[in-house]
Amino acid sequence: MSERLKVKLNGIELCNPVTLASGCCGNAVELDPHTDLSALGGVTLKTVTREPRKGNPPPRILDVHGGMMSSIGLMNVGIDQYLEKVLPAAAGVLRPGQRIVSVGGSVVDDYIYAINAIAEKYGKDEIAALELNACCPNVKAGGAAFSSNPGMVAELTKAVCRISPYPVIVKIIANFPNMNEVAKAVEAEGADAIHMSISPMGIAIDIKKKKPYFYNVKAPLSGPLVKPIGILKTWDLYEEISLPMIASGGIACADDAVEYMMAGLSAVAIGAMNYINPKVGEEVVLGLEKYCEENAISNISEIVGIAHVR
Amino acid sequence: MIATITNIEQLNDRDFIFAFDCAEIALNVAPGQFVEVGVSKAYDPFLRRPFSVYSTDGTVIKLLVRVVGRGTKVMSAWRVGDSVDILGPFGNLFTWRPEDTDLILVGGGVGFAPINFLLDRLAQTDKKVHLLFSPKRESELIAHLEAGKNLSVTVAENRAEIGPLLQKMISGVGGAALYACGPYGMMKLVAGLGAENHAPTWLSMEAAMGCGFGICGGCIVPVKDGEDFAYKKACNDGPIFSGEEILFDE
Repeated sequence: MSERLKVKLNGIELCNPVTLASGCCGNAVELDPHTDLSALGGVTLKTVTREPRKGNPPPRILDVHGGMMSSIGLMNVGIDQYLEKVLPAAAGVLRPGQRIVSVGGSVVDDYIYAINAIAEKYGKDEIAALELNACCPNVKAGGAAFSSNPGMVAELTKAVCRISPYPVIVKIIANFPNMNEVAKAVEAEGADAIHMSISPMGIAIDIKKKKPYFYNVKAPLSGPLVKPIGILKTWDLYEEISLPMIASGGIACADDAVEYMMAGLSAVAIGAMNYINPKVGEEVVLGLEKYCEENAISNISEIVGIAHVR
Repeated sequence: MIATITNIEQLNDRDFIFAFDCAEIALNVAPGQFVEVGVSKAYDPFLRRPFSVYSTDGTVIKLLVRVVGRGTKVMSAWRVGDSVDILGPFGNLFTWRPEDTDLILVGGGVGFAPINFLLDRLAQTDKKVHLLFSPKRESELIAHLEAGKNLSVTVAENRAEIGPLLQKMISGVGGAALYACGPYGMMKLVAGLGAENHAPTWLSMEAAMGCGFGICGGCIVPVKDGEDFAYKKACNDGPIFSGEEILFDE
């Protein structure tokens, strides 16, 4: 593993800036037969919640030009089974420094409960980072996403940073006009990094059935088609905060990762591309290595935000 | 892995059999399993398309493809010699018990693909196989089959005929196991008759699929879970499910 790809996002040290996004890489074991997971900087496991969740009714997936729509709904086995089966299995295929666990909830207490349960079994050296899935609906706020409101995200971030033995990444949806305010709240409450999920909402109509394709009507878009939006969001936020940023939004190759980093990301998260190319993560790592070599870059962090310099 | 198209057989205006030279898959795949075919390098369509394997021949796999949407339309323009990115094989497989001397296979339309592969493998055993195919107007899909000592073929005019014909076949042989792949309504019917007749029933289920190997959680199939229900993944937990397990729509 080369030194020039090592990155540090406050308390999070990754051997390279290439991670796989939560919800897009299962719980690592499913991907293990199809790629060399050891090449990756980090793998963010599927979000776990306090109680099991069945997820949304089918259909959940739709191919669109240049990407896809999906409506999965946090399907997971709940924290008890997660700790009994899922996390031990994932830990078997990932180094401690690659393990990023993602926690979701309906109220702040759910997050705290799940994090405390994880911390009882896994020490701070056994998990690289905790990702707070703040995209979840807050039932105490009528179902609005935690990350849609600076006050709500601040409360959640503060409560979690106080108890988490692991560095904290707060994952927000980049769909709200007040995103910069939300990000500032995350920064102010002591998170180590912020993760923007670039997943604009869309609607598809099943023209044969004359009704919306998805049960929940609206569903996020992902895949290469969203990348320009992601670069824009990254660009704007980089000018507002100094907190290290990660984003998932249509990264399909090393050039995409370089572009995002030049716009301001400290690390990238690969999402939907894993579905069609399970080796994409290791290919991006190799591509970044080559990029550094060809451009005489001693550490990849040198390019973070470089496009902003005028 | 990259596979080369070695042959394309056009059966009618919308059904094709593609042959791909792809040793890694051909030598490892079993009836009921599927592959994920990369349709476009330009991400349009973005997702791969899943196909149950239709047959193998040495290092070659064959897929039965019906042109029904964007992905299969792109595929219909493919030519012999083209290189295609295929992943697999994925999913579980059709299995049979030593004590079942008679097996009833039901294929509906293009859902005949995995049934054909199962027929090929069963032909290497001493099992008596009874095939029920529907609908009759698509009989070209089974034109290559030759009935004989161990294979009988029954063709249903349409779905309305499947129930009575299948019941007759089950009663005729007694104690047969059922295997089916086809449209949703047909699968529900087969599952119902299997349960009524206490016949082990194995269904190859379909769902809109994102990846094919269990990371996206997209291709779920509702199954019974005590008094409740649960979702299983068609790719990893299936695509073959017990008929008793599936929770069909009312």
